[in-house]
Amino acid sequence: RYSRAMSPAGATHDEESVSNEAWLAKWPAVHGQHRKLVAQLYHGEVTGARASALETVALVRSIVGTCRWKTAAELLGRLRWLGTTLVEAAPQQLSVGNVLRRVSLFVREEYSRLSAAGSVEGPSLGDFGAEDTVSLDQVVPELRQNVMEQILELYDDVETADEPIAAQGPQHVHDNDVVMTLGNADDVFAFLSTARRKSAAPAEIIVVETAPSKDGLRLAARLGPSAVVVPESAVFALMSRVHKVILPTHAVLADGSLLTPAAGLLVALAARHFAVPLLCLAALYKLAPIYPHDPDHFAHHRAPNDVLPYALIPATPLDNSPTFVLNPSFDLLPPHLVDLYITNTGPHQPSYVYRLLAELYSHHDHHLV
Amino acid sequence: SPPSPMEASGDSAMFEEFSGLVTKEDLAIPVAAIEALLGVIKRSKAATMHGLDEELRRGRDVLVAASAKEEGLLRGRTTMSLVSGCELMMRHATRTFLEFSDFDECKRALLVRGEAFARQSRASRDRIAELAHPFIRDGSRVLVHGRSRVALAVLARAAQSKRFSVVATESDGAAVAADLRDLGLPVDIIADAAVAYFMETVDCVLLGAEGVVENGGVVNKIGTLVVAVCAKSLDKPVYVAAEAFKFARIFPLKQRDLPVTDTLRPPIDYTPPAYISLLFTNLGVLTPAAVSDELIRLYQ
Repeated sequence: RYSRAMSPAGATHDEESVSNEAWLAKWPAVHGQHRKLVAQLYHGEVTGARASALETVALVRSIVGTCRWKTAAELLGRLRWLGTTLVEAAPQQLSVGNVLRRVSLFVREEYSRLSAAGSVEGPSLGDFGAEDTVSLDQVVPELRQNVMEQILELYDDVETADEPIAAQGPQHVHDNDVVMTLGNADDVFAFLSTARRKSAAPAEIIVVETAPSKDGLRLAARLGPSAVVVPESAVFALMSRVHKVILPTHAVLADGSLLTPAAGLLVALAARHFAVPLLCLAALYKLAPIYPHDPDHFAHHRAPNDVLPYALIPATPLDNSPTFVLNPSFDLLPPHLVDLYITNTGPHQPSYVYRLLAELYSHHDHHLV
Repeated sequence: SPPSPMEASGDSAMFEEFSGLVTKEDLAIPVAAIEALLGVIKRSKAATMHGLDEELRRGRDVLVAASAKEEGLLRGRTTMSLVSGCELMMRHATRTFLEFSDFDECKRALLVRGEAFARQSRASRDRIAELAHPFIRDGSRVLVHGRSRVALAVLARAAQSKRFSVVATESDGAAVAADLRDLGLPVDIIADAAVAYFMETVDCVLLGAEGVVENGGVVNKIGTLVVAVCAKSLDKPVYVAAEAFKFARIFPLKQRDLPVTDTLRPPIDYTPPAYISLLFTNLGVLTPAAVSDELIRLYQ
């Protein structure tokens, strides 16, 4: 089971990954933690942006803290290999790659600060003949501790990211508002609850059922008896009466587009049609510096059984044509449908995402995996 | 005042070098200009930074004036990208002057950095092709307008690993078709007036640029705005491939703000950033909003 988990389709067993594997094996506890996380990601036991990010930070904390490494260059190489193994296990969990990129930036920044070896900033118009090669081979003793501090802070940030987002609820959801949402995201629940708690005339929440997972029902149950559940087919009909749409986010991409649970695009298009503001709740660990140049890349599917039970599929197909049943996990929304991203550092427009990405990650690590 | 014989011979030497680089080595005009200005620095007998600065300014003016006169050199383009390339070089020179107090050190640094900058500028077309080619998907149809060598480099790089087809507007269509024939890409040449008709069959639009303006809009061959508006109304992404030295510090609000002499047959038009999806530059893939950030960082 583990060997299959360690080598999902397309994994490479080249020299480099073998030597990294051997290096990590010197610390059995950490090695075990790594293999366990790869298996959990592969089998979907660790799922969702927050859980994947937290587990990844925990693993990186172990590796940076426990394992022996000498230079920043070596550490970045190890992190890159680590990122490859985790992303291959679950390519749809973009927050995993984001955590690796963030930690890589910590390493580069701390190294550059402690060894005065040149800046970490990306290529810019102002670079006059500056070659992009900063040597990362100096041994810097304080590097480990400084990077560990940053990693611990990152863990706290990811763990508590929902709180600053929820605190912005009252600014956007007002008395007597009618708000539409979907799915069963914790940050959406916290956002809406905070807004309603602090309001004299709490907003009315319409939750889209989000079939076939029926996550919408779970959210409505948490919100209480005043929440209204509607099927996707009612979204357009109701949208003209809605004041705001709040969507959960799986990942935000480099051009400001985003991945939401399936049905998000339907809701967003209806909102655009009726000029209803659309807010997406996205903690910063969900921002990925990759472009959606291949929408099929994010085509992750769930069991078709939830849509059409296997028992109902005819044993002998009519006309010999197979039955295709699709149960996509995500919808990809283009940036022009989103009015505002509510992040744990405040609200930002989709056109500002490039700036956030430049602050969060180093341009060297964009193609980390 | 008319140039002295020595100045005039220096001018013609520089211009010779410049035209050689453009015609024989097929370098982008601003890249050739940067290398020509480097040549000015090398040959310079000035003993002060002010003198060197004067020579560079003179070189820039000579390049712009002479290129405007020679038809074939600019391949039908305006001097816009030449001017932005020269301006960037001047800006770098000024910053270097401010960094050093000793003239010889300064001149040496200017040469070293200038050479590196020229090297990077030469490589920018390939760097852009590397960044941009994933956006052209297997089996897609790409509309191109004008005959940008950067756009061609992107298509060439994409053709190495993908099969796709190209639609080219007729004003440069034959030349584009000749360029693409060697890559084995099927090309359809359509009338400029038929762009709207064919837009529904196309997956994306790929353009070059003569200039990228402060708000992320582009100045390109006339007809670009037509293509962009049409693409936007049919939800097709518009991609612009342009090197960073084409970033110009102008902020046109209307078409008439462009530097155009023949007002009835303008060679260029301005496409506002709202119609552009992404810009592929050697600084990375940028959204139009990011362009002004880059310009601010340079001119800060």
